[in-house]
Order: sequence, then structure tokens, then C-alpha cells
Amino acid sequence: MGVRPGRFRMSPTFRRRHFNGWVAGSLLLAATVALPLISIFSGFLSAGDLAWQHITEELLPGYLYNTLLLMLGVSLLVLIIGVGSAWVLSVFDFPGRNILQWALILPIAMPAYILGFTWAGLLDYTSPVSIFVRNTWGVETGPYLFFNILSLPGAIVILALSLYPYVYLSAYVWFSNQSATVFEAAASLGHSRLSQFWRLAIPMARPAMVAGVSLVLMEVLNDYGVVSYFGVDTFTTGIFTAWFSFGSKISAIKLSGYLMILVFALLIVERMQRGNKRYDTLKGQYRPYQKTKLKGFRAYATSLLIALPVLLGFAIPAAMLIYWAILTLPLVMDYSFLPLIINSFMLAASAAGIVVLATILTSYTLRSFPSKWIQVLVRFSNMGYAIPGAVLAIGIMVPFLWMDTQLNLLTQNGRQLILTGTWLTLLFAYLVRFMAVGFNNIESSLTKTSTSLDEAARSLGHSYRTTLVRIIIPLIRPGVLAAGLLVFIDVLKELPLTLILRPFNFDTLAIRSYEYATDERVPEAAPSALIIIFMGLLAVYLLSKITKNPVR
Amino acid sequence: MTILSARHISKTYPGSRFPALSQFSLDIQAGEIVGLLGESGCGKTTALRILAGFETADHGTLTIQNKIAFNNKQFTDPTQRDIGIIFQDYALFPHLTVWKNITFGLNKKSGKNQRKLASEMMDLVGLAGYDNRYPHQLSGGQQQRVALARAMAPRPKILLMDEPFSNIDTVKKNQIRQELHSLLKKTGSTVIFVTHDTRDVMAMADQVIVMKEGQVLQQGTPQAVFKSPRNAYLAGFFGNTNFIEGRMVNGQIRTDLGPLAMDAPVGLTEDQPVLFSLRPGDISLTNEKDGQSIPVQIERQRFMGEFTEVECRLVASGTRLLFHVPPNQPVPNKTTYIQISEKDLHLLPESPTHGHPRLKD
Repeated sequence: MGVRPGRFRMSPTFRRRHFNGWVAGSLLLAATVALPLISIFSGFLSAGDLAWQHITEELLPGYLYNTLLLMLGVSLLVLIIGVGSAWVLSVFDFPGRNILQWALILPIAMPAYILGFTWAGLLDYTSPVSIFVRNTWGVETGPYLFFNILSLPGAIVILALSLYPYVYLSAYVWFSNQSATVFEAAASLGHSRLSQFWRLAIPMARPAMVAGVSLVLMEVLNDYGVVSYFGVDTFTTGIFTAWFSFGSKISAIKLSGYLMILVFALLIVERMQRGNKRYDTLKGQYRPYQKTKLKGFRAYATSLLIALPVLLGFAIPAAMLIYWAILTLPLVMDYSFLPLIINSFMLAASAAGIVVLATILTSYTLRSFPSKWIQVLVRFSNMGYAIPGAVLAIGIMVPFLWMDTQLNLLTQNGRQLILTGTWLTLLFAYLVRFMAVGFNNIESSLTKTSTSLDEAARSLGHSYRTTLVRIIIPLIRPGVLAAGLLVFIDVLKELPLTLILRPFNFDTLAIRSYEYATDERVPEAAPSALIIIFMGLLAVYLLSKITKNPVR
Repeated sequence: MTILSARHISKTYPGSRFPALSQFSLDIQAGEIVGLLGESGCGKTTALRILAGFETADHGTLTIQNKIAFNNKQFTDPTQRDIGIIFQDYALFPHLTVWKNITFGLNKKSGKNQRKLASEMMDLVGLAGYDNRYPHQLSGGQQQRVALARAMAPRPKILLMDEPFSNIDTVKKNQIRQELHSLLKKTGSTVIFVTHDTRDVMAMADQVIVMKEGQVLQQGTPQAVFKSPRNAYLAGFFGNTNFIEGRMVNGQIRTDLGPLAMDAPVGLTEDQPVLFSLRPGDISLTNEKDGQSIPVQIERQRFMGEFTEVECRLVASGTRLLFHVPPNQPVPNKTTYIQISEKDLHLLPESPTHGHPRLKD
């Protein structure tokens, strides 16, 4: 008995815990994330070509400047809109408060690029609004109403309007989870509402705000549609230019590498900012904040101010899109429109299915065989969300093209694309990118179910697999549905990754609407855009239903 | 017949400096009910989980029905151990009906057999007619009985129960303890249960194992452990007690209560300190001054419902003592006398090398 000294032998229990089918499956999934990262990294280290020389000399400083300015501007704006409206909603009562509380989330259903081209169309010389202004009031408008939206400030405003809900949501949830006692204590010590906001609410809510803003910045770095439409040269558009205009694969990879450095820096800053601080109200009686009722002019002014993000980020552009869609529907509704919808939905549904299966596997592995290294493994496989779509596309394209070449050599089939430009590549990319979305939802419902249920099933003679199928999956159904729904929507509106990796002549709703818009045919982009927005709204609605009704 | 035997089982959790379980050994006869007793963190739950196979021990051997379930070479999966478990939270599957919960462990049996075994179990635990209820529609006691029926349906060799009464209302605890005890005895089940409540052990167990800091302190029938605890910790664990210090002088043990007539234990050397436990119920109040009675100063009294707890101080030495008197007996608020029978003084063999708790000053 005991361990024989000087000789290491793997015990049967060690083997059972660390080497089994579940762990192997999770390892494979982590490898899918490693593949694009490795291919970017190895390309990043190799020598550049002539195009790369040109890019570093002429374009790189501009990319960096624009990207950083975009990040700075969007984070400031989303903080002001998101935290400001969340605070006002938490402490004041005014007409329409209950509607605005959920309406402020609506822009989340509006992809940034759709919001972008809609506003560009709205403010352009030929838009119905401009025409109305000229004809009714006789005012001569310039090429643009108000200001040239197709600019860096324009892109900042558009991105902020479509992304602030992330910050608003986390800030609002945080504020409404706070017990009033802290603020009442501050009031009794002579602090006004405003002083409570600056000296208590903001510093206490910082972890929640950091989480929200970093999510927004990930989206900003991922964005291709807005910046390319608005003519703002950033790393993402640079990657496209390098690959498609210069035909320089290595430059695209190197740019991707630089963008990844930016992403990693962001992740590190987020970690440091968030740290382990959690300013939750200490244990005790929870009592919600007593809201101050606003009266008269101030009440209506507040309503209007808080309604502004919803109007600009959702209501006005949605109304415009509906108007355009009615105008152009007969034009757009040709034989190719139905297949387009079917294509998009099939693609999104299969991606959702794959991601859900994959994340059930990883989260159940983590639950059943918890250990340090499996934790690291699973965390790594959720890294994909941080890789911007264009980078991921390049990182997958390169090894897949190489594999095609090898396969061609093997079969002596000449030059044929076997893997590249197929659904397989596309689904692989979605899996890598959206695994975290699935994992977060499934994991959070898993942690709500007691592990003694697993143990009870095992003690009654059931294997890990039947326990998963008969006990765990039925119990986490809401989380599984939510995960699937979110991935479905994300894929439906995804642009840069799909643009690069899609099969030849294969269109999705997102691509079709974006292409119409870039062809100066914004009204014709409206029907596709509306379908995406409608599905997004449906998803938001279903999610609120699902999360409110856990099983029994 | 020994049905389960654990030998020198030790377990230290990764990242912890102290063993959760150290040299744990145990033998269980068929039909016996064994209680693992201790405060939270004493290792009793770890022991239970190792027996079930949900945790793996670092060292030791576990044999169930003469088959090795665990040693340094082998490991039997929990699914193969023939052990039924009733979890502290019962772990009823919330999405399945009572019937489906109970048949969940019978999936390898034929449909006819399943129905026979499950309905037998439903009758046995008195839940006939509840087939289509969901767990959340049942009371705590009923949920426990479903958990019991589910665990017993596959006819396991041993039943493990984790804190079986922690989720039961205090009012109903006594009744449910009795019902469960007679049910387990009726079926002749072999049971190991874990608890932190001495009353559970008194009501249910044939054998009790008291644990502290991963080690077994004492093992025996509940009566034996209550009557003859081995050290001050154990004496205090089974209810309030008075600790009386003594010392051997000239072959006689002297205490604050006076010299004792009893023979000094074998091996006790001159001037060596000893410690006795004296239960508050074994001290009685008297008004008469005679050779047997000891003068005390009454300090405080507290009405506890079934008795009055009195705190006093020995006039001679100033030592504090607690004792109980019937609730209707008046207690004079001054110097009076108490009576102690020497046979109620229990010598703690392991003290006083261990520290012992004192009454609060």
C-alpha cells in the first residue's frame, strides 16, 4: 500500500479523470481555435513582401490611428448613453419609464452596418427626408443633411448607437441589484443624487461597466461593414484591401497579427480593470431604490432624452427601412429571394446546432471532470469570440488552402478547391467564433443544477452519456435554447467572416443587403435588412421568455 | 457478515495542507445502521463520497461484499458499486414524475420487473397513488421518501444517506426519524448515514463513529459513546457537561468535589492530573447539610422549558458547575447544597493531554 518511491505510475483513477472521450472531444474543440491562431502567428513572424512594405510605410499609421480613435470615441459614447440612461431609469420615475426600460435594448437587434447605411441613406441628398426639407421649407440642402455622416465621427456615432445596449444592460442590471441602503446612507450624509452618482454608483459599478465596454470594443474591432461603408480605413478594412486588392496573403496575415495584438492588449486591460473586485451590496435585507417622481417639464424632457437612443438607434431607421421595403419589395422579390432566405436560415441553424453540441460537450466535460488543466482547455476554446471575423477568416483560409493543395497532390486532381469555399469552412469558422456565446449560456444554466443530480443518476447505474441525455439536457433546456438562438442571430447578421469564406455565388441576407447598400441601392437593401432585424427582435423576445421561465 | 470494509483510507484535497480523511477504517455488518457523526468539515462527507465512488482516496482499500472497490490498482465506477445514495438535497430529478424518478435506476430490468419493483417501493414508503406527481408538488418528508424509494429500488447492498434530516422541519424531525428507522429495520437495510446532530444518531444508529479533523475519535454503540466518551471533546459533543479536574495524591484521586473513594485507574502515577465529565442531569439540589452534600453559591438560573438550568460555584474552591432541576422546583437564591453520586463521574481516559472546554466565566 502507499506510493512506491522513485517510480511514477499513473493510477487508474488519474487515467479515468484525465483521459476519456469527453476530454478528447474538448481537446479537439480547443484545437479548432488553436488552428487559426497558429496560422496567424506563424505568418506574422515570416518576412513580408513588397505590398507589406507599402502598407507599413503608407497605410499602417492611418489604420492604427483610426482604429484607436474609433475605440476611444465609441467607448466614451456608449458609457455616456448606457450608464447614463441606466442610472436615470434606476433613480427617477417619469412618463414612459417602463416602456423605455426595455425599449433601450432594441438597437441590439439592429446590426451596426444596417444602421450605418440606413442613416447614410436618410441624410443623403436624394433621401425622402432631404426632399421633404427642400420642397416644403424651400431650404436648399447640401449633399448631406447636417453633416457628412460618412466619416470617422459618423462611424463612431453609428457604432455607439448600435452597441450601447451591452453597457446599458450590464449597468441597469447592476444598479437594480443594489440595495437602496448604501445610497440612503449617502443621502443621510448629505450627498445629492448627482454626488451619489459620481461618488458611489460609478466607482461601484466599474466592474460591470468594464465588462460591458470590453464587449463593445470587441465588436468594434470585429466590425467591417460600418467602417468600410463609411470609408474609414482601419485594420479590418486593411485586411480586406491587402487580400483582395493587393493580392498579398502575407500582408493580410501580418495585419491580422497586429489586430490580434490590439485584442490581447484589450483583454489584458479588461482583466486588470476588473480584477477580482466585486462591489456587491453586503449581505442583508435587499430593498430597491425608492425612485423620485419627476413632474412637469422636467419629466417630459427626461423622457425625450432617454428615448433619443431608441429613436436614433432603432425607431427612425426601422421606420425608414419599412418605407423603403414597401417601395422596393416588388423589385427585390424575384426568384432568388426565397433561396436567399432559406440559405441564410439553413446556415445559421446548422451553425447554431454545431455550436450547441460543441458547448454542451465542453461544459459537461468541465462539470464532470473538473481540474485545472481542463479549465484552461475550455477557457481557451472560448477564445474565438475575441478573434475579429476578418482575422479569423484569414487564419482559417490559409491552412485550408494548404490542405486543399495537399489533397490535390494526393489525388492528382489538378487544382481544385475541396475544403475552401464550402459550407464546411464556413461552419468551422462560426464554431470557432461563437463557441463562447454557446458556452456562457449553457454553463450558466448548468451551474444552476445541482451536481448531486449527476451523482444520483450515476449511483443508479447510468453512464455519463445517459446522465447527460436523460437528466442534464432536459434540465438545461432553457440555456440550450438561448445558446442556439443567440448563435443563430449572430450568424444571420455576420458579415466579414462570411464575405471572405462563403462559397462562390453564395449569398446570405446580410451579404445581399450590404452589397445593395454599397452599390448605392440602399432602398433595395431594406427587405433583407428588415428580415435580419425582425429575427433579432424575435430572438430578444424569446430570450426574455426563456430566461423568465426556467423548468418548473 | 461483513458487507463493507474500509482500511486506512486517506485523502487530502489538492491545495489543502490538512488531510480531509486520515487512516479511516470501518467494518459494517449486514443489516446494521451506522452513523458518521461530526461537525462540518470533520471529513464525514468525504468518507461517504469515497465509499460511493464520487471521490477517489489517495491511499487505502475499500472492499464491498468481498470485492475490491478501491485500492491503489483498481477502481470500481460508482455505477458498478451496488450502493444506493440519498443526497442531502435528495437530488430528485425535477423534470421527472415520482414514478419515473423511482424507475430511473431500473432501466436494465424488463418492463414488468420495473413495474413490480417500483410499485413495491411506492407501497413500502407509503407513496402509493403519487405516481404522477412531480417532486416540487411534494412535502419535504415525502421528497425524502421518494429519494429513499429511488435509491432502494435497484436493491443495493448498502444505502448511504447524507444528512438525512437537515431538510426536515424541527417539529417533524422526531416522527420522521422513527418512521425511517422502522422502515430501514423492516427491510433489513445496511445503512451508513452522515450527520452533525447527536439526536439523529441516538434515534437511528446501531453504531456510531465520531469524527474530527479527518480522524475517527471513537466508535461504538450510541449508548456507549454517550456514557463513556474518551475525551473532553466527545463528552462535550453529546450535550452540556461539567469538567472536573483531579489529581492523584497518595494513591487517592482528589478533586474540587473532595477526595474520591474510587480506586485509581491502573497506570495512574502520583501527582498525575485526570479529568472527569459530570452531566448536569446527574447533580441534584438538596437543602440538607450532611456528610454527602457540597455547599454551593447559586449564581444564575435559566428556565429552559423541560428543566431549569442552574449555574453555581463551589463555596470551597470557586469552581463553576452547571446542573438541571425540574422546572417546578424552587431554587434558593443563596448558598445551598448539591449532591453528587460518585458513579456519575466519568473518567475521560484521553484527557487532559488534550485541551478541554471549560464553562464560560
